[in-house]
This record gives sequence, C-alpha cells and structure tokens, in this order.
Amino acid sequence: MVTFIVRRILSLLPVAFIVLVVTFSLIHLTPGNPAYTILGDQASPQAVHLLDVKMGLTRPLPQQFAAYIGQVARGNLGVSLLDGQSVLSLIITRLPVTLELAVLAVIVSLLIAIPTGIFAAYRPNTWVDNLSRLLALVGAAIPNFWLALLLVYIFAVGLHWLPSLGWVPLTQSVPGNLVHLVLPVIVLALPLAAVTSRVLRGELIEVMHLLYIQVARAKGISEWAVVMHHGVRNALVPVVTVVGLQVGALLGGVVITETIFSLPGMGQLVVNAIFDRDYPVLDGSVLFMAFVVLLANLCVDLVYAWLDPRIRYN
Amino acid sequence: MNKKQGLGMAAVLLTGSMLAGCGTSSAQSTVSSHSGAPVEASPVRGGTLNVGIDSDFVTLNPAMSSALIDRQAFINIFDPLLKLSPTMQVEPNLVTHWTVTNGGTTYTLFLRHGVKFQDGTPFNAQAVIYNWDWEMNPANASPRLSDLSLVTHLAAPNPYEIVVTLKAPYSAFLSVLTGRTGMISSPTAMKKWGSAYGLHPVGTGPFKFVQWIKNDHMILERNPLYWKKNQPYLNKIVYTPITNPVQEYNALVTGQVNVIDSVPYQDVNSLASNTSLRYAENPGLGYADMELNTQASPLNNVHNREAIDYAINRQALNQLLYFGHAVPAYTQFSPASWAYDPHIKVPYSDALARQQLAKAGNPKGFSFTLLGENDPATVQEMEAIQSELAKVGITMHIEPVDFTTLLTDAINGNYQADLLGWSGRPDPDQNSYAFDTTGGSFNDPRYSNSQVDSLLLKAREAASESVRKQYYDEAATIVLHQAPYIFLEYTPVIQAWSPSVHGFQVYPDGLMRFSKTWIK
Repeated sequence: MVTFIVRRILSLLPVAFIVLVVTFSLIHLTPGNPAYTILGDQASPQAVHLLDVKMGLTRPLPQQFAAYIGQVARGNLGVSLLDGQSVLSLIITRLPVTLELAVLAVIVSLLIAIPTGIFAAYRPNTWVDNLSRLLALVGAAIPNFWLALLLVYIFAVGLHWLPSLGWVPLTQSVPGNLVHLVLPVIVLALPLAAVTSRVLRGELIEVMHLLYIQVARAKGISEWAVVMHHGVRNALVPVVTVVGLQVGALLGGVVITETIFSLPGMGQLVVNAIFDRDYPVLDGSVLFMAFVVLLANLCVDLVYAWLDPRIRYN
Repeated sequence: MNKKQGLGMAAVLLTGSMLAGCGTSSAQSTVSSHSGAPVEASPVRGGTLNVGIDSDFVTLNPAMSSALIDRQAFINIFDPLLKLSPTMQVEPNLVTHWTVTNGGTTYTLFLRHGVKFQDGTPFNAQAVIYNWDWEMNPANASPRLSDLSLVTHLAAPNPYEIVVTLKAPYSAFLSVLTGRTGMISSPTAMKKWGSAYGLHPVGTGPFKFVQWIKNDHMILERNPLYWKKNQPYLNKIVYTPITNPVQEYNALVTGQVNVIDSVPYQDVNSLASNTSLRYAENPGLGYADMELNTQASPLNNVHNREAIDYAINRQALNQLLYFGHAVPAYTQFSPASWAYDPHIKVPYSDALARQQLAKAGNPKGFSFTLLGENDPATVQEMEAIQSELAKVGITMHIEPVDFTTLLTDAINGNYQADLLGWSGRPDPDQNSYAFDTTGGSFNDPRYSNSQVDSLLLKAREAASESVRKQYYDEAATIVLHQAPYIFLEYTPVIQAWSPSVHGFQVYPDGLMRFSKTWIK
C-alpha cells in the first residue's frame, strides 16, 4: 500500500509538468500582458516595454519557462506581477475558503444523495423514485449561477434568514462562518447530489438482484441490514468514482460560486489572475488545484480498497 | 484601465437591466434623489461604515494606479493637493492658494502648514517633489507620467512653496492636481516599501490604511493626525468588493453594507419608492462610446463612420439598456461639464445613414467587427447596436473578448471598432486632448485632423473658460461629424445608502468621500 501511494505521488510530477506547460503556454499566448493591466489605457508602447523589462517579460518564452520551472523545483511559486505578494501566501490565504466550501459541498451532497438514491433503488418506479428522479433532473439542469441568485433572492433579500454574500473565517466565528456558507454550499452540492443519487440508484438496483443478496435474505438477515450492509456497501464503489471525478467539476463550480457570493477563495484568485495576466499567480494556482484533483483521485483509489476487500494495491 | 472602469460602471448598471422589464425614464441632466431629511443633525463620532464596491482594488499606490476603482480608496487615504466641489470646481485643499504667471507656464503652489502624513512624516514641498520626480522617471513606468509630461522644472524656494515650470501653458494643470497626480505619498513609506508600497499606502487623508485582503475586504481607520481637527467622524471603513451588481444591491437591501458605489438601472425606480433606503442620481463625467479605427478598412472611410453615427437610435438604447437614466451622447463633454453643449448633436436618421453609405460607395452597406468586453451587459449593448445598424444594411459582427485583450488590441490598433467607455475627468482637456489630437495617448482610433489639433491646443492654452468653451464646441462638432468615436450615452452616477448614513454626498466623478460622513 505504501509503495502504491509513493508511486502514485511520484506519478504526480509528470502530470504537474504537463499542467505547467499547458497553463504557461496558454496564458502567455493569450493577447495582452500585465503591463496593460497596470498602465491601463495610458499604456504607450514605450511604457509597456519598460514595464515588460522590469517584470522580465521580454526574455524568450522558453527561457522564461525554464526559469519558472527552476524556481518551482526549489519550492518557490514566485510573486504576483501586480503587487509583489508571494503566490504561496496568496494560495495559503485563500485555500481554507475553497477547501471548506468544497468539503462541505461534498458532505451535503452525500447527505442528500445517499438516502434519496437508496429509497429510489429500494422502491423503483414508485412515486419516491419519480420524485427523486425529478429532483435529480432539476439539480443537474439548473445553472449554478442562476440557482445562487434565486436562493439569495428568497433567503437573503426576501426572508432575511441568511446573508447574501461574504465570508467570516472559522477562527473568528464558527456560527458566522457556517451561516455565510449555507447558500454557496447548497449551490455547489445540488448538482453533485443529483448525479451521485442517480448513480447510486442504478448501481443499487443491480446489486439488489445479485445472488448473494438473496442468500442474505434467505439467512433471515433483516431487510435493513441486507440493504445497508450488503447492498449499499457494494454499490458505493462507482459512487466513490463519481465523487472523485466530480472534484474537478467542483473546483470549476467554486470559481463561479465564489464570484457570486464574494468569497475570497481560490476561484476568485484564478479568475482575477487570468483577467490581469498575472502569470505567476495563475500558474501557481492552477498547479496547486491540479495537485488537489490528483490527490482526490488518489484518495478515491484508497477508498476502493476499504470498500471492497478484494482490491489490493501491491 | 480607466476606460475599463468607466465602462465597467456602465456594465455593472447594465447587467441588471437584463433581468427586468423597462422602467420609466428620469430627467436627463437633473439630479434625482431622496436622500433623507435635508437638515442633518449634529455629526456623531465613531462607528464602522461598510461599503460595497463593484470590483476589487488593483493597487493602492496612486503613482502606479490606472483603475477607477482605486480612486475610491485614494480619495479617503490621500488628500489631493486641490479638491473638487460637488459641481466639479477646483478648490484649495493641501494647496491653499496658487499663482499662474509667465503666460500660464509657471504655477506657484503654496502648501498648507502643519500637515503630516499618517506615519508622522511632515508634508511639505520636498515630499511633493519627491513624488513627482519618481513619477516623471521613465524607468518607474508610472501612469502619472503623461499628467506631468509638460513639466520642465520643479523648485522649492521654501518648504511650503513649489514652483512648477511647464513647457507650454496648460489650463487643466490645476484640475490634474485634484486627481492621483495630486495625491502625495509619504516619501518615508515609499522608500521603506519600494515596489511593495502599493500594499502599504501612507497619505495625508482622513483615513489610514490598515488591511487589504484581496477579493475580500479592505479596512481603513480614522487618521488621528488628520489636519482637519474634527474630521473624520467614522472610526473605520470596510470596503467589500462585490462584482455581481445584483448581489451588490442585495447586500445593501439586506443590511450587509451601508453604502454602494452603483445601483443597477432597473432598481433605481424602485429605490424612489423605497423609504428604507436613500439614493442620489447625478449626471456623471463619463460616457459609453464606440471607437472606430480610422486607419483600417472599411472605417477609414469617413462616410461609413458617419453612416453609423446616423443609424444608431440613442434614445432607444437609453430606454432599452439604461432604463432611461442615461443621456444620449454626441461629444466627450457630459452634462456635468461646463463644456457640455446640448445643441451639438446629429439626428437619428436611416435616410441620412443611407445617404452616407451611398457617398462611401457602399449603398447596400458594409460589414465590420466590433470588439467588446465579454460580460453579459456589454454583449447586450453590442447586440442592440448590431440590430440598429442592420436596419440600414450595415452588418456588424460581435467579438467579445476579455478586457486585457480588448485594451491591448485597442491600443495597438488591432481592431476595426471597439466598445469602450471613459470614466471622465473634471476638465474638458482631460476628456479630449489625448483622445482627439494626432498621436494622442488615448487616440485609439488613430484619428488625425489638423484643425482639431489646433483648436484643442488653443483650448488647452487659453485661460478664459468662455474662450475655451468656444474652441471645444468647434472641435467637438468636427469630431462628431468625422466620427472617429460614436458617442452613445452619458452615464449617470447612482449611489445608494442606508438611512443610518449621514453626511454623504454623491459627486459627478463617482468617488465616495467619507471625511464628513457619520453613522447613527
């Protein structure tokens, strides 16, 4: 198992390199550069050139990339071209927001998806299943930016139950923090829950028709235990796969959700870095997010072994 | 960046307009508001003011800033050398009085005594000259360099007097000192922080900088060293960037912020009947416009450009996109400017547009591409223009791009037409000279007309406002008919606040000044 984990972590390095090459190339090939962001419409060609020289952007692209890779290899993600802040410190400041949002969204989505998936599978083609199907369809179909504005209109502007935006750090106030995250978490969790619920339903229906379930029932095990211990556990493997795959999509959703709810997370950092052509911030953030996705997938692989004792990593 | 922010302000207000139906129109250049009781009670000291702003700050160093949003912070951290009245008149501030001699080429500025920067450094002529020398050094690539391009010599005969020698008369110089060029940083702080000074600004203004967490909030606190002994009244200001305009308005409605810097147009009419909020609507200095590249086919043909000018129904655009709150624009001088002339305009006429197309040799029309920012509001505006032009046979392709690309292409002339805007400045020279003269730094259309060059130079050098106005009228008429720009709408400044906020006034430049604001 340890060998497997070490091997997987080492395999992250080439992936990280590819991510860096793609990000670095794409953003540098996009028209414009940070000098235009800083100088605005007063950017004369001379002023842009001077600033480019100052920021080291006049060197050939491969040379800039080599310098950047060398810097990253030494654990230095560089500094923002706009204000000189360390990229690592920018990421560390924003990471708790995105991490908390994403983790809570996954938990809430599972809290919704698992019961509805089980009920729908246990009573297929009944009103419970139809209702769960409808909710899944709605959850998957509603664009999250629209859902966000709708929820704000109802719960913040209309009912005054929840704040419409903003962020309170956990260290400052736990209730304040959670209250501010209710709406963003729902916005992120619903589409995830919709997919997960349908996958669980389909898988569980199949599992419940397998021979060992009939054996379990014949042995007189309670129906609850049959479903939960023998059915659900075996149906969870594809569910975990889906959740793992959704981490990438979740990080994409975070970008929009953070913007709408004014949450100072990684999503906003990336969006602003793109618009401002703040190359080191963008490269560093994307690299970091790629690591998060890869680590999530590693965790998924490890959970497989826990769920299914037949899976061994040697 | 100012263009971005100028259009951004329009865009912010426009975004919401897609979510609701048309409202009623407001008076064009009049001030609308219900800003509470006209008689304010005595100010109360203390409290925190939560302010919603439509985007985050870019830098807090006035010498390196080009974004309009930065000026919202600067106006409270840095007291400018001269200040603007609510009617955009230049008034004494840190410069108490001045003289203009040698035919308008020498300005002698007399500084206020006893003023200190927030770090205790004395404010004096050396500090001002240190700032301006830094900004005039090309190696620092300061956007302020163009403001000081006519300066040939700076001298400080004594600690409270500065003599500025210019290459040529420049009637807008005093107006320049009301903006970022007149916002002086502590030399001690500039030397201490170097390139990171933009994260640690120190000025002489009513509030001192405390903390800035990007995309989250910025905190200012009362400056105990402020030279106006009883001001400011507030203890603290917290700025929160809220990029979604509907969410910014919601934050005011739900009480999460006390003041917002812009209101979606479709919500303005409901504000008028909402007694739990206060608002004011003033003519602004800015405008939305199209830039037409006069060096690139087919818009290098003046008749094609004029056809566009005639074919756009600005009143319809105003109703559709701005809910009647904007004013149709035909020049660079808004109703808030003394250079505004409502008689300079072109009619909306399909027949005249077709005539121009025939003169251009394109009786059936032509096609071109319009670049614009890829936000829903701008795209909606581009679509509205597209449908206007289609009526006379002009096919306009829309190409939404991100702002940096838009700006890069505009500055480099890599476009046929673009949709930009301008946030406006108090002096008409600042809204025309660099835009319309040959080789001007804001002249993205690469427009060149010797008569316009001459008129704007004369206007810049003339001392009398009435004489300058004549020159501006003449130049604006030529520019309107040669159409390197298609001016669309003058955008108003609409700001709203909660009833607990007192002593707050809306200015045509849109900057929120909080030195006299108090909360109860």
